[in-house]
Amino acid sequence: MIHAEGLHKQFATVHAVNGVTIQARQGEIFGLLGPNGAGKSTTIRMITNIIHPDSGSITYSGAPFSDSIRSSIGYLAEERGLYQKSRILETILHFAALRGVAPDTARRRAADWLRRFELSGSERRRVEELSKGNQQKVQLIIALIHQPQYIILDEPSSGLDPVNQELLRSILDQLRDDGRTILYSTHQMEQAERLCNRIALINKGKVVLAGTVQQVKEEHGGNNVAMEFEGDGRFLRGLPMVLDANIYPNGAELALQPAATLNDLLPHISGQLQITRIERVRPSLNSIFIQTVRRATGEAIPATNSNSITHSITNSTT
Amino acid sequence: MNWKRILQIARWEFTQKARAKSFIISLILTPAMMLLFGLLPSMLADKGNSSTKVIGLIDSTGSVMMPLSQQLKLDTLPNGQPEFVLQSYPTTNTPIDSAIAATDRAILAETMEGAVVIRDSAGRVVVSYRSTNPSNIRLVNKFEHHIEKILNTERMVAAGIDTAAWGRANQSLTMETVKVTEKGGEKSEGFLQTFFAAYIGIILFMILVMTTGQSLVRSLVEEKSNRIMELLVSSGTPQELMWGKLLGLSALGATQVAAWVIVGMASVGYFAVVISPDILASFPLILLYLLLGYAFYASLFIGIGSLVTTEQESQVITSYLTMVLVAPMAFAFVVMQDPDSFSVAALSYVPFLTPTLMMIRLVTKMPSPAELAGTIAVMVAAIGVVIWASGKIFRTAILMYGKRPTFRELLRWLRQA
Repeated sequence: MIHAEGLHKQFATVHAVNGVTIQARQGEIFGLLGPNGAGKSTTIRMITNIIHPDSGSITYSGAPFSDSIRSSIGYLAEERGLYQKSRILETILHFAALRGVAPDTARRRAADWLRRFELSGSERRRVEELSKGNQQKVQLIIALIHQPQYIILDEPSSGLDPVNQELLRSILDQLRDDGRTILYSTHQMEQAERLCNRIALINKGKVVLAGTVQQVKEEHGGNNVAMEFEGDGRFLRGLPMVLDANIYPNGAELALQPAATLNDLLPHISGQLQITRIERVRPSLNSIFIQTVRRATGEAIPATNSNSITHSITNSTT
Repeated sequence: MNWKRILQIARWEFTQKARAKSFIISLILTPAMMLLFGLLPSMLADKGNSSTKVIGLIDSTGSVMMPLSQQLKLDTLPNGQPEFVLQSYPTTNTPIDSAIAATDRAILAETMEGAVVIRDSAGRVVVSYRSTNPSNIRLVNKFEHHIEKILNTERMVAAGIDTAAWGRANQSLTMETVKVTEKGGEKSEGFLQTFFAAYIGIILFMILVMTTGQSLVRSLVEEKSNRIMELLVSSGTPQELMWGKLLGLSALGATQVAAWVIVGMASVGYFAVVISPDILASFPLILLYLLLGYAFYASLFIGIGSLVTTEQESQVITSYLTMVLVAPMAFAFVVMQDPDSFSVAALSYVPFLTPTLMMIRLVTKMPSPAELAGTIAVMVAAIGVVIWASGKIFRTAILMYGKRPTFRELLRWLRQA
């Protein structure tokens, strides 16, 4: 378990991390969510001991940071790179050696990982010859080569195509089942929703929301409707029973007034849209994320990288 | 600190940089260039002319032609042919200007190397040399010397002086320099050999610091701009990273020096160069100052290099450090002329200058044991201070991207425990 308690970090006048407390348990994937600049990476850099908190404490299965804990952390940084002129296998072996893995073991594991990531045969290629996605796979191998107990991944799927994202997901699932503690930072809510057992949403250096994905959804469960349709759904945002709307090109997720029902909504839609599906749903993590951040900042924020959002909500009353 | 990690970083730094083209080039090319620069001028100078050259002579005194031809007969090429053949242009019936015009045409047509013009103007002789290549100093010196001697002899005869007696009385003199050491008087190898020995030592030192220093700063910039630094610092402490880099860098420097020493020894053996015993005796000390200087500058490069974030900045930084490094070259001559002066002694205690100044002083005049001990102590202390300060700066600066710290921030880092 990684337990960070009351972390504070200030850079000049910016209070980047302001009293963050999180707990990533053994055998779970803990999602650290938040918009850009929320303080996720700073929190992670403190947990990996790259920078030191101004105050607060971090323990790893109850023990403070030590040299042996350093070797049991696997870290993938958000902005990452490798020695461009170096060869792939020697780069992996270098970092394995830094983490105390014996050369033979490192070689065997590297071959195994390269095979899983479909990079067998590239051992002697230079890093600069690889595509960005493949470089990222090498970085993931480097983060995992020493079989770390604590796996800390900062936006690990950015740059990976859907096939490799799926591969990463299955690998992380397996590592979780093996009893590793995984801290997964992202601002891609769909991923967090699919992958994480528990999450904490950080905004402006503070945890604004925490719990299991189910708990969070229940706590923030509004009166939501998801629909798919053909036609221009932008008018939905202006309907009287709609509090909030995420409009996509062929669908929408609406937050209705507490008392409103589907029956109240349907007459306004019929004739304007060709509906293929409509149902009452729990709000997606994405909606909760946007609403919570908006509530915390009290202002409209642009939709983040959430893949399909085309228009952000404008008539929030909360 | 974890020594395994330090050694792994050192090994990585060494193998990655030793494989770089720039290192291999400097490893091979530097000694090759040194040899070339050392040997080429003397080889060229000894070679002299390879074919007989025609020199035009316009002599208004009328007395130079014969004796000059006699003199020049003594100068022959390796194949036995004369080095110079004189072609006289009489000035008794033609104006001197048309004679000059004729030689100029021949020179431009390349049938003549050059022409010597001797004019007698109101009792004062003016000699000039006309050629497309008037900077052939060897040729000019030779003719100047010969003509001066001929004209002087002629004037002495005119004045009724016995030239044979004068020749006996007027002997040319070369002063032999003798260096006095504890072992007694020994014939000195001469100023130039000493000077060049020191000079070459300093140039090698500069190349060593510059090439390895530059590659260090470059790799730091790469690690920062690629964010490899995050990965490195999560795998080991900044101190381990710094020591690993210093160690790797030192191994790189030592490899280069070893290669140079081997090439140097091989060429000394091959060309049967006689090295003065003074230089040989001071070699271990020269090596010591070179290593101390290297350690000093390498630690400096680590600290300053960690502040750099772009390739351009790294170039600016290395060129400033290089300027500091080159500075002692400017007063190398002064040091050689007066190695005991107060200013030289005082400057020898400035760590930036100590290695180069002491290298020059060791071959010119061995400094006193107290001075040797003092300067070595200063260097060791300076290395300690620089490593301490670099360590403080390094651990914070390596994680700063895109922003240079202010001077105030630097001071704060140094004060931090």
